[in-house]
Amino acid sequence: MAPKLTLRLDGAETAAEVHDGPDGTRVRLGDRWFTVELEPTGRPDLYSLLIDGRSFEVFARRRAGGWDILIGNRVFSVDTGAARAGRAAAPVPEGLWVLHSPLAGIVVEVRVTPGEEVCAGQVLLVVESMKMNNELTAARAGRVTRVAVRPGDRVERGAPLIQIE
Amino acid sequence: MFRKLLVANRGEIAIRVMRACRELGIATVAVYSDVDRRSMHVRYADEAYRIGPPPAAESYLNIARILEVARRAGVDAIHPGYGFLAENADFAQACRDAGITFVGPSPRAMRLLGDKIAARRLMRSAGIPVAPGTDAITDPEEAVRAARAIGYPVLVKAAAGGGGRGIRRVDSEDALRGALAAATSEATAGFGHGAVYLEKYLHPVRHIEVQIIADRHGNVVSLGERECSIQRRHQKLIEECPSPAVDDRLRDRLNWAAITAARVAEYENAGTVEFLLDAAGNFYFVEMNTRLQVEHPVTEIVAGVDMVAEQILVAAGAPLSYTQENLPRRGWAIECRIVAEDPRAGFVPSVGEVVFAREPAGPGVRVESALYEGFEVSMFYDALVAKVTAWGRDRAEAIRRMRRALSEFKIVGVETNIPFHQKVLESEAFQRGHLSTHFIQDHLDGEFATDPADAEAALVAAALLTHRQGTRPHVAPAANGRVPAWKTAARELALGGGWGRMGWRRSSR
Repeated sequence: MAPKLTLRLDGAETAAEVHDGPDGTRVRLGDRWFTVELEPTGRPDLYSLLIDGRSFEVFARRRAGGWDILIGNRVFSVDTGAARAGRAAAPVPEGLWVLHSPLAGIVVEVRVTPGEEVCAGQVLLVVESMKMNNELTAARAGRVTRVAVRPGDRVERGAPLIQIE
Repeated sequence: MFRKLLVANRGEIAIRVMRACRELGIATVAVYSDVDRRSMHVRYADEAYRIGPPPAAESYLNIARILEVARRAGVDAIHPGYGFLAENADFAQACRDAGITFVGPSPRAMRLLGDKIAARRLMRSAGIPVAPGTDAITDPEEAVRAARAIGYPVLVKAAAGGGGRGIRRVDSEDALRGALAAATSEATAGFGHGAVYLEKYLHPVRHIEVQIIADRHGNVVSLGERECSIQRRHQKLIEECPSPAVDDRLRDRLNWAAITAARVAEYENAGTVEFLLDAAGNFYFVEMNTRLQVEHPVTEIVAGVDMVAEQILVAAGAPLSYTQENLPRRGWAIECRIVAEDPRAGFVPSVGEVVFAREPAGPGVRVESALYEGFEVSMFYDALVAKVTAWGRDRAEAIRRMRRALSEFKIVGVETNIPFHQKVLESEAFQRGHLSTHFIQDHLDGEFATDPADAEAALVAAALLTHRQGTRPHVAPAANGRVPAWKTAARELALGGGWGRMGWRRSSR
C-alpha cells in the first residue's frame, strides 16, 4: 500500500492515496475511491487523465512543494507534503485576520464561537465542496470576534467566514 | 501594386497584415525589438530587421530607425497596424517624404481628426449630432459656466487623447478647477498638447462605432456598425457586429453620419467613427479613429471582406472592390480580447513565459494570435495575447460558439482574462443584449467559480504524479505481461525528465 498524501488546494486539505493493483490504479480522495488512468501524450507535461471514465486533459508541472496543474481553463496550484509547518512559521501580520473561503461550498460544521481563543492551525469550520469535507484552519492564534456563517449556509469562494483578533 | 511592404508593428496584428500581403503576392518585412527576436511575426515575414531595444520609444516608435530599415530593405509601402505609430501624422508624413506609401489616411486627415476639438466642430457643422460640450477651455471661469449649462457630471477630455486615454469624470463644481489643471498638465506631458474641453457625461450609453473605408476616387462605403460596450477602464474587451441595439432605421442614420464624417474630413482608407448611443436611441459623435481597429475581424466576418487587403489596394490607388449596395451582411460575430491579466487578482497584469498554449478552432471560430510555447509576455508592450472571434447565424449561436471556443483555449504560464469573458458570456444580461459601458460594474461581481469536477481532477492528477515520482515511473503490465519498450521510454521521458525548467509563474490566488 502506498503512503498517504495530504493535498492542499485553495486552502483546503484532502487526504489521498494511490493504489496500484492488478486491475489498474485507484486513487482515494477523502473517503472516495476512483479508478484512474494517467496516460502521457508524448508532449512532455501533457497527459490524458481518465477518472472512472470521465476524460480530462492535464498539463502538469512540478514546482517546489507541489504541482501546478491545468484542467480546463484554470491552473490549479496543489501543494503536496508537509507544508503546514512552513505555513505556520510564516510571519503573520498584526491585528485582525479574516478567514476567507478558499472555495465555494456548503458550511457543514462551525467548530468555534465568538469570544473563543484559538491557536494557529486549529480547525475553525468545515466546508463541503465537490462532495468532500474541507477543514479550514486558523492561520494564526487569537480570539474569535465574528462568525459570519452557520451550518447549511452556501458560501462563495472569497467570502469572509470568521474573524480573529 | 506594391512589391514589398514593411509592417511597423508586432504580435498578432503584424501577422494579420502579412497574411493579407501573402495573399496579394506582396513580400513582407518585419521589424523587431530585442525581446521579439523569436516572435511569430519575425518568423512569418519574408525579411526581418532589428530596430532597437525593448522600450517602444526606442524601437516600435522610433520613426527614423524604422524608415532607415524601410529604405535599406527597399519597401514601397508601410502598414502601421494599430497602436504604436498608427495615428501618428508625423510618421505618415515622414513615409510620404521618403517616397514610401503609408497604408492609411493622409497626414492632413490624421491631424484634423486627431484634434478632438477640431473634429467635433467639423462634425457639428456637417449636421452630425455631437455630445453636448465645449470647444477648447481657455479660462476656468468659462468652464464653470459651461459645466453648469451642460449639467454634471461632465468629462474633462484632452483634445489629443483618444482610445480611452486623457479622460476624467468630474461630478461637481468644487472638483472642476482642480480637474482642469490636472488634465491640462497631464495632456501636455502625455500628448505634447495641453488643450482640454468639456463633454457631457452621458449615462447609461452604449459604445457604437461604424467602420468605413474610402478610396481616392470619392467612394466611401460603410461596412456597418460594431458594438463595443463591454469595457474595463475605457478599454474594450468584447466587441460584436452588428449591435443588438441597432435596427435598420438607426443603422441607416449611423451609416449616413459615418459616411458624411469621412467625406467632410476628405478621408481615405479605413477609419472608424465612434458614437455613444443613449437609451432613447439618440447617438452622438465622439471621435474618429484613423486606423485599422483591433476589433476589425467581427466586421470582416459579417461583411465577408478582407479589410486589410482592401486597405492595401486602396492605398495603391485602386477603387473599392465593393459598393454599399453589393455588400452582403451575414449573421453575427463576437470578438473576445484575450489579455494577459489575472481576473482573480484584481486584473493585475500577468507577465511570464507561456509554457503551454492551445488555441481554439472548429466551425465559425477565428483566432488572431502570436502565441507560441516559449513566448514571453513582456512588460514592455500591450498585454493583448490573442483575439478570438466566433460567428453564428444569429447572436445566440455566436455566443454559444464563443463559449465553446473559450473552453478550448488553454494557456499555461500567464494568467488571462478568459474566466472574465466566460462569466460575461454566461450572464443573462449579456445574452439578452442589455449592454452599456457600465456593464461590468452593473452585472459582474468579483468571483469566478471553479467547476468542482475540475478541482477534483487536479487533486487526482497531483496524487498520481506525486506517487509516481516518489516510486519509479509505474507502468501497468500489458495483458501479455510485457510492456512495450516505447511506452516505457515515453513514460520515463514524461515523468523522469522535463522538470528542469521551473520558475514559471505560480498562480496567485
